Amino acid sequence: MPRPVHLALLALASSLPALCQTATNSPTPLSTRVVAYSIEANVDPDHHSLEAIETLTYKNLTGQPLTTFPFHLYLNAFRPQSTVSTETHFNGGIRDNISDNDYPGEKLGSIEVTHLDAVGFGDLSLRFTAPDDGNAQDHTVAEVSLPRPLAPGDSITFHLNFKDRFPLSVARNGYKRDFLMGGQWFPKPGVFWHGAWNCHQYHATTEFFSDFATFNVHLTLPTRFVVGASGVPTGDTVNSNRTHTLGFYAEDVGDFAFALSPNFTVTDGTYLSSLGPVKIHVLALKAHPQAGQRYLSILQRTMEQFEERYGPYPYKIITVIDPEPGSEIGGMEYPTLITGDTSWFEPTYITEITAEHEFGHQYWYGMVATNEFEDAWLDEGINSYTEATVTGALLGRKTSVLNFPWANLSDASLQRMQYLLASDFDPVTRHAWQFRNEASYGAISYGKSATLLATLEGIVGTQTMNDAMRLWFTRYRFTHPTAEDFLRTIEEAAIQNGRATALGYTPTSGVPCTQLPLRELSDLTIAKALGDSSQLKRTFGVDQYHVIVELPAGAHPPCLPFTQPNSDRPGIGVAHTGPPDDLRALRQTMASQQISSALKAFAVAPTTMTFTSTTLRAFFNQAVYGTQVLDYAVDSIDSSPVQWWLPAESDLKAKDKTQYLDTVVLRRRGDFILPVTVEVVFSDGSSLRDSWDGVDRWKKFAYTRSGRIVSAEIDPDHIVPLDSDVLNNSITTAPNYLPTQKLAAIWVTLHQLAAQLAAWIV
Amino acid sequence: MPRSPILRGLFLTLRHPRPLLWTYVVSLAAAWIASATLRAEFAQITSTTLAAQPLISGFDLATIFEAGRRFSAGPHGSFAVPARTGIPVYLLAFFLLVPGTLLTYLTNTPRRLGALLQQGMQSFWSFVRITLLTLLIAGPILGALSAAQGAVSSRIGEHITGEPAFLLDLVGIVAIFVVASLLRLYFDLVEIHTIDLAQTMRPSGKPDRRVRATLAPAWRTFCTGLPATALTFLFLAVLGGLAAYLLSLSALRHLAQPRVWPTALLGQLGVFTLIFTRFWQRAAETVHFRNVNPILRRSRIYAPANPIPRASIEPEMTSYGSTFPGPFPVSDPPSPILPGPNSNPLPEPGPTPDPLPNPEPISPSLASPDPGVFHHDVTPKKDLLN
Repeated sequence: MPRPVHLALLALASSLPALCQTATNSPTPLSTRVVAYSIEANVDPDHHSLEAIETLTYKNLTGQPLTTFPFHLYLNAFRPQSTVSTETHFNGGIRDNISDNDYPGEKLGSIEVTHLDAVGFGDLSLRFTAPDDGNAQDHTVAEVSLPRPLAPGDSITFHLNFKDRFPLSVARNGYKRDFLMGGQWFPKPGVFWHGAWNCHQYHATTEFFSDFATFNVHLTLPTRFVVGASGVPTGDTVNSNRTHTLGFYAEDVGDFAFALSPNFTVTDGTYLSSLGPVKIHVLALKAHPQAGQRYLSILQRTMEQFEERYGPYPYKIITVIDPEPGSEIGGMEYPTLITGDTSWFEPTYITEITAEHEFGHQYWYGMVATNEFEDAWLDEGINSYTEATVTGALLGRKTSVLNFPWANLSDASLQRMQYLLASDFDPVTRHAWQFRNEASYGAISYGKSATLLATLEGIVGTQTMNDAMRLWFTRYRFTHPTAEDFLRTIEEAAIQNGRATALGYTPTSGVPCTQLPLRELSDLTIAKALGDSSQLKRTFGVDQYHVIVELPAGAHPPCLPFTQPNSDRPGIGVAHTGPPDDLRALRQTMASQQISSALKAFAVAPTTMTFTSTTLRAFFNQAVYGTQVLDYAVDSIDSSPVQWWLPAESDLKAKDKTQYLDTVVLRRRGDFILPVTVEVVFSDGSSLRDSWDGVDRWKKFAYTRSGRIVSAEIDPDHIVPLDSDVLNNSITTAPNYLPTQKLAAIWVTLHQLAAQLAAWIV
Repeated sequence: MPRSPILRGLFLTLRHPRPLLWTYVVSLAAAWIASATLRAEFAQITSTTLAAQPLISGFDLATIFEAGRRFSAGPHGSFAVPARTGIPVYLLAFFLLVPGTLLTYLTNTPRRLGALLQQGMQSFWSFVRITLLTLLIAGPILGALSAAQGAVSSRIGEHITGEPAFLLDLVGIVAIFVVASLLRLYFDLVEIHTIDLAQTMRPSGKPDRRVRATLAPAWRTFCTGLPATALTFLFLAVLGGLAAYLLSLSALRHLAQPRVWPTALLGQLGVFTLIFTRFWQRAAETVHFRNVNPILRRSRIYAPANPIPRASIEPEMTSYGSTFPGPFPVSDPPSPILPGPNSNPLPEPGPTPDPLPNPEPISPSLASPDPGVFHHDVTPKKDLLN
């Protein structure tokens, strides 16, 4: 029997249970399901290949007719001519032997579409394109043109037959020993996003981007293999030829992956979320006897943390794959399926951190489905930030990587260390394939992003950041938000919590200012609101309120802080008041300019107005969009008697009465400008904190005190990990040589041991 | 009856602690001096900053990373750079101390630092040649073995993972270690033979420092009782390595304490143990050498108290030398009396052929029984040494 016929029959048979398939996540779709996949695959693990029939239904929700469809064919990346291989060779990447001048044959991979047609459109053909670099030899994206447009709202059903050849493990894909990871293994259309198709080539440092979909997949393979896959299992049918067909169904996800090995042992557990029980399905290798329980334990605790901090996990299962050691498959995320990374001897928390990180991607990539090609920091950076937060809570703030009796290392420090390795080559918003090299991509997308968000947490406060992250998840889950969406979410939370100030307002898009449902506030209600910040909320029933200020004739908008002219409503400026202090400041300013009588204030529903900018923008522009390096230093401290011309007092009592001119000089060494707080401690036991806007290159603080300066420290609360050199953030007059002695003791001992080892040649 | 190399070696090591102590002192001094810039710069980076607090009451690796980053931006590049001078200095000192150490163990005679160094300088180029020879022979052998082990490891890795794979890899590594140890043992014996031979004179009147002349005898010594000798060597190597590892680990475990002396003390104890076991190995090898090459077989005689003038020997007689026990101080030239154990017993072809057969070695005129023959562990009489 010819194989295609066999596959077709198999597809028909295996689709029967799918017909009875019911929703698994919730009665109503969680996402806008653009694509419906049905794939019947015959996997040949011994030859690292598969043949499959894919039925793909795409619903045109773009609002415009579509004549072309791009498809990802990512297994074609694993050939020397591909863009991935070229980038990896010259700039580094996830493939090993990057400097080798040969491409091992076993690392070849491919996906070949042997047949393509669309219902009502007839047979179609694919044409390779290279939208990113024009590399004609790169076959990771192919395009199909329809003979006639697909109308908005209509659907099209493609039938594809394809063959996969998996490479020896490379870039999270392929086989190692008798283990096989099937990732990016089927033709998948691009995402119509922001008015155009978004379907990038596979790059050395990029991940993926796809529409939300449903997957009904059946895998036929030898019975000796244990399989883990995205989604929930729907059945296991044993065939006559020592194979069995396993069914899986997933919905509200953007991708589907599977892994198989005869060496998996199953460790199952449950996490009871507010949306119901979630099965934790761990497939760990027999060679890693401890791994199953470790993965299970950390995932249960992680899911609890994520639910508490950001929101519940809505899927019914999460599958953990423990890949073969030595493969390049460890630490990868797919919807409802992650790969861990461990070994038989693993005394650190790397196992836990990896599992936590990959689970975090279920939120930051899986559900908040950002474009991993263009905004890698929105998944890797945010995820690294939440990773440090969650592992800090679970494994210790200072010990979340290493918790040895003699040494410690935290995950947050690890992120910062990564950032410092290449801190200033690229902005975090750079497209993933356009970074200087792999090192810069890693340092910026992971390390710097996590560190800048930790710094942001220090600036706006932990509560505000938690609110922002929760808002980010709840508002943007099952959508494809952008970097600006994220930044504005933080600004919104910060304004709401009074940790940032809007610098201007504009009506929400589509609502003319003249039609805003204004509700005028009397001076009395404003006065009441000034006395109690929650008064306005109680009075007007809104979480956030805004104030429209009517400008007097001749008053120029710039004279009013927080306002800007509005062209839709001449004579009206728009101001925002979050906490009473803002409104108070506004009124004081207006009063000082003798225009207080002109003030009229209105409450506005929060959804009708939006800020144009906030006080956090300066930080975003440098940390997110810029490459500025933050480095403030205590340049010097000095304590000299005010009456310097008098002889030095020898008597202690007289010394106590001596007045000193204490000076602290701060210096901005980097090009990143951020307000600075400095804490000065004096010998009389007193201390004070001062602040500096950080704009100038240096700043001198002078105090006349009865005590000398003992220490001066920038960022005394250690909330700015983005500072590239924390060692110059402080100076103390009481030196401590213990760190030097410790290091010297180790170094000398290691030196002696190395020398004695070298002496074996004598 | 042959003496136990391991026990007798321990006895020798303990009885003559000076070479060991000087080696340890040099090791410590070289490391300490090499670390001077590191200490100064690290002190400059960390002593007056509050950011170094995590290194006082603990040992935060991130802070070490930060300091290392600052250090690497300085003139020295990295923590490892100072070792580029320290280790060669130590190796040089080791070159100079080992010959005197071996002679001390061979002769069972204490030597001061000056004598040790003098012997080291005399044998310096011999040891350089031995070291080059060691590298020439051990390099390819160990390189090939490592490559083979790597290939086997890859092969294993294709099918086996986890702890079993690690243990199989470990077997390969242990095998390489054993071969490396045997090579080291052999070249240790070459060094002993070289020192021994150097106490004899060549016809030119110079000490016989030919390394090639010792290779075959050293091989014979190596092969004689090899299992026991190798086991002794391996036992002491493992003992030293294990002790150093455990003590260094203990030293690390005290890093988080707000004091440094436990770390320093345990670390130094580890280093000292490692050096001690190495000297113990050397002493045990010397005992083995003496067991395999007894005094009589090696035509061993004591040198006379004073050098015998060449003029007092018959002019046609070949010059020979002896060493055991060597005259003290060693600045005294060796006395040319009898042929060395490894020298050519046949007369060297001279400008005028000697019609007379080569005379049998004459019996030495000793004032007392030869302690080398009858009382190996008896200190030679003073009058023989002076």
